[in-house]
Amino acid sequence: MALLSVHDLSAHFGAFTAFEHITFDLEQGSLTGLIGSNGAGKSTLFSAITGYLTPTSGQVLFAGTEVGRYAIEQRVRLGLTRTFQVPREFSGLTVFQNLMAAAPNQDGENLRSLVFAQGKVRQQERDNAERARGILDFLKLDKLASERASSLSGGQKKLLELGRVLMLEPRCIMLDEPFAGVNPVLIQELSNRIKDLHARGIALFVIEHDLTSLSRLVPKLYAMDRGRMIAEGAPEHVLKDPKVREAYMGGVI
Amino acid sequence: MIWVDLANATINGIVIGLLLALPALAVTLVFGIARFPNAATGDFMTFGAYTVVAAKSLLALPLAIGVAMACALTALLSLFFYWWVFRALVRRSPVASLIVSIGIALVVRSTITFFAGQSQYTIEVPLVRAWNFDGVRIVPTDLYIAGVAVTALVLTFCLLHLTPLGRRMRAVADNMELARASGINVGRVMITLFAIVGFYCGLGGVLIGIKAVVLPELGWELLLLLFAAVILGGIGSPLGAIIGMLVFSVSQEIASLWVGASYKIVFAFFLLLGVLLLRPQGILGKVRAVR
Amino acid sequence: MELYVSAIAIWVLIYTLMATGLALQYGFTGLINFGVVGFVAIGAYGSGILSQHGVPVWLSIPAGAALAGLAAYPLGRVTLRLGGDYLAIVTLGFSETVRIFIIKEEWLTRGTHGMPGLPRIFEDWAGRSSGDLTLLVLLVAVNVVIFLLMRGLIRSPFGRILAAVRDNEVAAKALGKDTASFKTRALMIGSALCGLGGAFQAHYITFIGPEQYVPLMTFYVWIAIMIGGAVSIRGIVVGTVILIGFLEGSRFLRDVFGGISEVQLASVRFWLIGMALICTVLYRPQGLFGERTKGTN
Repeated sequence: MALLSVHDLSAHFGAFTAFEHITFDLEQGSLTGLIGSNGAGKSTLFSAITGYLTPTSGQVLFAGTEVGRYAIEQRVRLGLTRTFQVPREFSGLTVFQNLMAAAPNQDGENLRSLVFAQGKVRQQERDNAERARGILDFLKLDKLASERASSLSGGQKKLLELGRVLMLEPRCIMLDEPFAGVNPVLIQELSNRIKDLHARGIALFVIEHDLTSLSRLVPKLYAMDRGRMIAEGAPEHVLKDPKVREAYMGGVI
Repeated sequence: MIWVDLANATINGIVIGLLLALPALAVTLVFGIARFPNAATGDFMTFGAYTVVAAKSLLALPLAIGVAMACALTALLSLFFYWWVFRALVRRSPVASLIVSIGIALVVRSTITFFAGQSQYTIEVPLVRAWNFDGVRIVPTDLYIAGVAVTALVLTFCLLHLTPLGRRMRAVADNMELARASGINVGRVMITLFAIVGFYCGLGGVLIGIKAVVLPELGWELLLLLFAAVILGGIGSPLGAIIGMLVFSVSQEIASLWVGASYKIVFAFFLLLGVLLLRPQGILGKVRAVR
Repeated sequence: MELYVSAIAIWVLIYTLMATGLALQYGFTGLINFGVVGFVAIGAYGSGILSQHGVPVWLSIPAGAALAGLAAYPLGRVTLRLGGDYLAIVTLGFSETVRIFIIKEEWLTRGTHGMPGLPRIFEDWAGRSSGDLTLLVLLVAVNVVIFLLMRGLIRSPFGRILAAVRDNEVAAKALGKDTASFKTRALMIGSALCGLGGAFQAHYITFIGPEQYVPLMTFYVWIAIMIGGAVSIRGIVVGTVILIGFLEGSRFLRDVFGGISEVQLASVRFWLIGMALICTVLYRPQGLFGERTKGTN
């Protein structure tokens, strides 16, 4: 059974249609890309799947559960996570604290435990700190651990956001334009990390405009245009599809 | 005769609702376009009302000229604060503008009380006998007030929907970055916005000053009602603000038959909580997406 | 003179309690509470009314604070699940509602007459001047305890999430945090501290009346934390000292400028508070001494 199953999903805002009749499946541990011109509805589709806006109709099944009515945080607890097009770092916290804040099910988030279960809270903090350091090493952010997040470059912020999501031990990460505003060296770095995560069995779904980097990264692509899915398949196949060339690139490639 | 009381309360509510729709429109436009609840709105109204008092008592000007002066001066006041304060905060969080608008409210009101003191004033208009239909009373002055308010409201809708300037304002309200990118001069839109806002606050303040008495707290005490009406109508929706204000003031007038007029703010407060609980996007509000 | 100095110090210590409460809400969580005075009034009346029904002061003061904290719960539940600035508007309305309730519900509050003759703290075993000194010591102790608790809270995992919510609420949600619940709890704790300040004030001046709890008081506390920068304990203390210094100092304004009436003096004070709000946000968003404030950026 597919991990994420989207069935006939549509979103209308008044007379405006963000997307409609979207149906697709993401397999467990798959690595998939999503392309489309600006305004094709990609980000809106992401938002609908992850709970940031309510679709007009259709279903979203995650790990066999209908999550269409779930709040954002309920979906996250099931393992369905995302990053943002514009990084949303916690600017006043350090890089390390950004990851620590992300740790799920912390007893220290509960005021009663802070008073009555201090030992347990401290133990959890040590465990989470260890995990956070492991993730910072993996992302090669360890040297920046005690820098304020606001002082990072755009690409580093994208890595940080990925790191925060990894603290959640997710089953599926939706990445919204991970390469936008990132320098070429870091793009390579980020691609390698994404492949590593794929190898660990996490399902990844990537929106990206950088077609070269994306087609090198993913074995499967979807293409959207004006709110509809118009093609799917291997990257070389999708990029040659006349409908995609017509809609997305205006026939320039 | 309960239905006579009800009818009178309803008529009164409609008149007050129409005139308060002017500052409510000012609140919703700033909320929708400049993205913050402007807490100085009420005290701009107070400023308008005192301008007429000053024009009549110090300069002995006729009412019509006083009203025109009030609208113009309040517009200038509003523009001044845009130019000095809000312009610098456009790119900061709306929180900054919100806190500053409270500061402006305090500054405007204290300047008024410094010169005019805490005592009450009235704006005298020629007394006309009310028309009486079996106890249901219609005061001609109220009709004038309602007429002025409706005219101003109709003009706004013409401005917003029929002129290029209005189209630009709506574009900025929809998406400021996109509007800027497509070549709209956001600064000019803001200047227009704050001029209109001042104008409406001034006019609304004068009209409520004619209907009731002029006090330093005149506008401040209406602020919560304005916010509540705007939220009920759907933030950023001009038509919603008018409907919200009418709903509020009619129900408030009717409720005050039973609970007494001093509970008006309390009533507005609980209605606001109710709206936020049941329909936070308001009657005509829309949902915004996250990027 | 000693009496005067200790009186000033007591005022400062009462206001630091309120300022700490507001700083937790605004500086550390990013919540806009424009109804501080409503929670102060609930603390004051809660404790005042209880003490007049025979509850000892050492019990009625914390009870007043707890009432103020509980009053914040429904406001938080209704507004904090929504984005935007609804809390600011709702708390503003709330504080006015509390004041009108105090004026109108005379059976409970004696309305505009106010409630005189509240018991002083340590009344039983100290005279007036040494009573002030013991109160001063008690307030210092209470402030120290509150500061330590607050520091522990800010540095705990709970405090970390508050900072995350302040910096980017959408991102905090994306990490599965129930942000409305965190905000509500911060609102309640901060409001309870405002109530605590109000309760101490009530039993210090031994009289409470609705005219004390006007919206201006809310903005006194706001000024205190804005001047100090809202995110450090030192800032809170310095900001409060400057505020009380200003409030006390402005009383002597009339000796300097003759011919100013009481109303005009109040207007000048009011005007300066407004100007200070505008100018700190505009020119010193990080406070007079702080390096930077996150809340306003």
